[in-house]
Amino acid sequence: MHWFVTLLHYECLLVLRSGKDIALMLGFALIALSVMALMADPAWLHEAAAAMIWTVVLFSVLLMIERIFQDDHHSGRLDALLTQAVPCWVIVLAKAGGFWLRAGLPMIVSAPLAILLLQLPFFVLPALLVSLILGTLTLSLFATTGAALALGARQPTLLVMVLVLPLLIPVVIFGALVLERSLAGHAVTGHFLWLGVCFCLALACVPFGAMALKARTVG
Amino acid sequence: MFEFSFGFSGTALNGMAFEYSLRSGDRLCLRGDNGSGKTSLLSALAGVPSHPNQSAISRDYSGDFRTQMHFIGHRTGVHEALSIAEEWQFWHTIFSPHQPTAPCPIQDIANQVGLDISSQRIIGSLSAGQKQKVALARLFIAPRPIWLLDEADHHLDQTSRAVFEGWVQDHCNIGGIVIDTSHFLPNFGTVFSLQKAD
Repeated sequence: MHWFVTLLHYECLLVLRSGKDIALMLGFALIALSVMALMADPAWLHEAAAAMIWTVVLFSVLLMIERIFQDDHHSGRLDALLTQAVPCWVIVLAKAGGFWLRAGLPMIVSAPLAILLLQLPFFVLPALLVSLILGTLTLSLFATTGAALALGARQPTLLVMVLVLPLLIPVVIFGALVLERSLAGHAVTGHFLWLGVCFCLALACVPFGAMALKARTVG
Repeated sequence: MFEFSFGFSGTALNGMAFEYSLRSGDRLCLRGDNGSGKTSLLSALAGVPSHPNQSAISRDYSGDFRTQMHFIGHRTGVHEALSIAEEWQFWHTIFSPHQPTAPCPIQDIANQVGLDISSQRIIGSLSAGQKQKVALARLFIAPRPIWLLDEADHHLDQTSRAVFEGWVQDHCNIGGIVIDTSHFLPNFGTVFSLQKAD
């Protein structure tokens, strides 16, 4: 447990140190949403808002996915950690946490702004926030597992896309459905449950990522 | 004082079979030209093979190897965005799972490796030799009997290299085992020469 706390603590520290990652993601979200909001017809905006927000979320994840293990792999830190007694699943979970701070948190922070930009009613904010939190956590777990599996491959980016895109898409669909349904005034409990199912599935995939890290070691 | 033995055997990149049995106080120096497989051998020994053809090394050691050795690779794994104190505290916590909240004696370690930590600078702004010393400090953060060092004297100046040789000597004197690679001739220890594959 303390290993997880330590690793996560350092992930937080590094995210704060290199504030450019978060700034980049915030900037990306805001620019993408502003462009969409400015170009689109207001009536159509209402219908397309859910798809827009979740497309931005998906792209932010895909933008950062390659970097999850890259720095630690190149600097030798990953190998140095793997020679220690730290369990591999702890490394994967901590990396997923760090990834969520970089790619997920900026999306959640910019949710109120997205509502303003896309001229949505504010009563959908709670549903949007809950779906974003659950959704980005799930995406982070899938992405980190995929990145661990693709580590050391010749074309890691391509491989990781092929591996995780099919897993990410359902999350994005359910997330978008939550917003669309709550905009139309329907109940969204069922969709939250589906997002929960995706989250559990993502957790269940973590051992595969841990196995991929374990496979880098012998003895 | 440490009192133990450590053996390993396997096949080098050029196909040469080797078998070593080391006892407390021994030092084994891997020497050879660029590309002769020093790093591959040492990283495989540490348990993280860097070369796909060099994974068949069997270790003969009683106890949990991972908690008994330090491996400082060619790529040292120092995180450049951290300060020296943060970096050392990180490894201190990783090395001592039983007292995770214990603070790392940062000043003592800084004195030992000869680094000035008063300025709180991030590691990225240090010179290559200083970064190397930041990595080598792991040897003193937790006392462990086996040191696996891959070109640990890389980037070090003349004086620091002599100091480093002194650390190795001291470690062997208290019964530790050191296996290291370098392009310089060691003061003492057995030399294991690796040849390039034809």
